[in-house]
Amino acid sequence: MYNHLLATRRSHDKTGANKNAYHPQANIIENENEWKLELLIPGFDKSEIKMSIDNGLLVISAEGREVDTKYRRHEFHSGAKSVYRSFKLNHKIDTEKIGAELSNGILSITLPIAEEAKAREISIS
Amino acid sequence: MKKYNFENSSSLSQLLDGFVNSTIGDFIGSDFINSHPRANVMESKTSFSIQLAAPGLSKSDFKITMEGDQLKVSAKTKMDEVKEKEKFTRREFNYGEFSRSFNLPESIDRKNVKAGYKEGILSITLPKLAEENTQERNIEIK
Repeated sequence: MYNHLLATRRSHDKTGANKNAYHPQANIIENENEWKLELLIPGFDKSEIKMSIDNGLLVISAEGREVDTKYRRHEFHSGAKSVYRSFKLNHKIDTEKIGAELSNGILSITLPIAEEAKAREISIS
Repeated sequence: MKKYNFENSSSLSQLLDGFVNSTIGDFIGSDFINSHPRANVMESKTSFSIQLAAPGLSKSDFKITMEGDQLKVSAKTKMDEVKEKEKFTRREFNYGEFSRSFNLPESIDRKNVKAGYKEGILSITLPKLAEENTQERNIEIK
C-alpha cells in the first residue's frame, strides 16, 4: 500500500474529508518520465471535480448530487455520492506541470517527474 | 480486488435479485473484474433503468441485444492491448471487455428500450408497458 512516488494512505482521507464521501478506485501507471494516476469517477462532469495540491498532498474530490432514487440493485456510485481521495506526492514530481483530463468516467492525472530527479547516466571522465 | 457497495442491500432487494439478475455465463471469463461490470437497477412508476459502470469506452464499443427475456450488454475495445503493455504500479480497476446479461420481466415495452452513454455510465431505459402503468389492481381481502 506504499510506493516511493505516490503514497496512498487512507489516513490522509480521514482529515478534512467529507465523511459521506466514497474512496474511488485508482490505477497508477509509471514510466521513466511520468506517473499516471487514473481514478474511476463515473457520473461526474469535469466542472464538478475539484483537484488541489497542498503541501505535497494531491486531493481529488467531487460533491455528490443527492437524488431520490429507488434502487433495486446498487453496485456502484454514479454521481449521487461524494468522492474524496488523496495521494501523498513524492518530491520528485514536478507539481507545476501536473495535468488532468476527464474522459468517460476516468480522471487521468499526469504527474511528470522533475528533470533533476530523472535517472541519468553519468559518464566517467 | 473487488468491492461491492450494496448500500441498499436489504432482504427485500435480495428477494428481487431473481427479477433482474445476472446469469452464470457472466462469471465465465479469464478476468472476473474485466468481464463483469457493476450495475445499478432502478425502478420508477413508468420504467426500469439499468446503469452499467463502463468507464473509458466509446459509444461504438457497446453491443446491446435482446433475445427472449434476456438483455445482453457487451463491450469490446482495442485499447486493452495498449494498456497491457503499460507498467501498473497499482491496479484497482480495469476497463475494456465485458459482458453482462439481465433477465427482463414480461411487463417491459421491448420496442421502446433506449440506451445512452455518458460520463462513463451506460444507461438503459426499459419502459413498462402502458397497461402496467395505468391498471390499478385492487387486492381483495378475503
